[in-house]
Amino acid sequence: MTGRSRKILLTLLLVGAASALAGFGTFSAFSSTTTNSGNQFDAGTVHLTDNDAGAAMYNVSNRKPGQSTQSCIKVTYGGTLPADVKLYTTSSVGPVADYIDLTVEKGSGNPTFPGCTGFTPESTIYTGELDDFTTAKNSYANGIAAFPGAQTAWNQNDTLVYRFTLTLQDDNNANGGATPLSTGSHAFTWEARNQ
Amino acid sequence: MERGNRIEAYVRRAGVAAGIALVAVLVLAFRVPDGRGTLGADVIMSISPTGELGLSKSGPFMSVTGLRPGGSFRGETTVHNQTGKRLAIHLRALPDSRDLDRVLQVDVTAGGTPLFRGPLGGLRGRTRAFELASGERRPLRVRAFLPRGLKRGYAGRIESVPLELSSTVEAGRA
Repeated sequence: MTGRSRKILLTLLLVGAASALAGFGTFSAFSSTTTNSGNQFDAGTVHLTDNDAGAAMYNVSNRKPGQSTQSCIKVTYGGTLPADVKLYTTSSVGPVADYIDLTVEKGSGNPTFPGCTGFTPESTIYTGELDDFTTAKNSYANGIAAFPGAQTAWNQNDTLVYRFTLTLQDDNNANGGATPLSTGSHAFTWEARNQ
Repeated sequence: MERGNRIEAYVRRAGVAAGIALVAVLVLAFRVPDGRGTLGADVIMSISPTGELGLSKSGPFMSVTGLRPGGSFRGETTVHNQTGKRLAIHLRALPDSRDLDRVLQVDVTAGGTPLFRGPLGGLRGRTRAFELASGERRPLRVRAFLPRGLKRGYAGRIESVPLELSSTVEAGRA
């Protein structure tokens, strides 16, 4: 081997060794990772149901003055978010509603709809004429808020029983003569909104 | 002189052997003991009332920690039809993962009537219906177990299984 060849080989060897060192330095750097796993975002829920199974609380006819009808409905909150629940109506009613006294109480128990056997009253949340209820409590904003027991929010699986008592006043203006006066069909609404 | 060197060599070898033995004893004495085996499964089953159906016990009503093959757990709640109509009632499960869908076996009865028996995954569909007249109550019993001989698919699993009640009105019947 000539001196020239030896120099070339030596140069290649040195370049190779330097490259190897550089490569080793580059790829042998310390490394570390950390992972945050299992992330999930679930929305809460607001869900309100009742035990009417699609039936009316009351549908009575031929009432005489002073006669009452009483019905209970149980409202169940199934949502996950703490909520307010308000009672109101968006219905309009006929003229006889001006002569019907309405009392709404809240309470507990397990009455079978629409009966009130087993109902334990806690407090009265509305007293007045049915007609006034439809004008004064006709939206969520002016609806009647009620909570189970002494709570200040409805929580999941909370229930509240509402007892409605309607009494026809002893007033001859409620006498329609040849044509009985009627309220017409009307509905009550319970609306839950998260706090 | 020759004899002295030989003795020193023996002593050194004996010292090395004693050191190795000591290290071996220390390693064996201070090693972390074996566990009891694989982890079991943790399962919580919960149930919520609906407007139509009241429950004697709601929320988490049965749970188990460290469930292993051959183990079981059970729970019971009473369903109350609080409507004025006869209802057909179904139950289904909404597990938060599919980890135990194939391995956890579930047995559901309502007042002695079998509603479902099979793997948890099968309970994602509705059970057969049971009927309750207006005001009627019936105990709902749920038993869940891991079959004996199960080798995998349960260890360390943590699962929440909400059970959902639904009902439909039986037309014309109270």
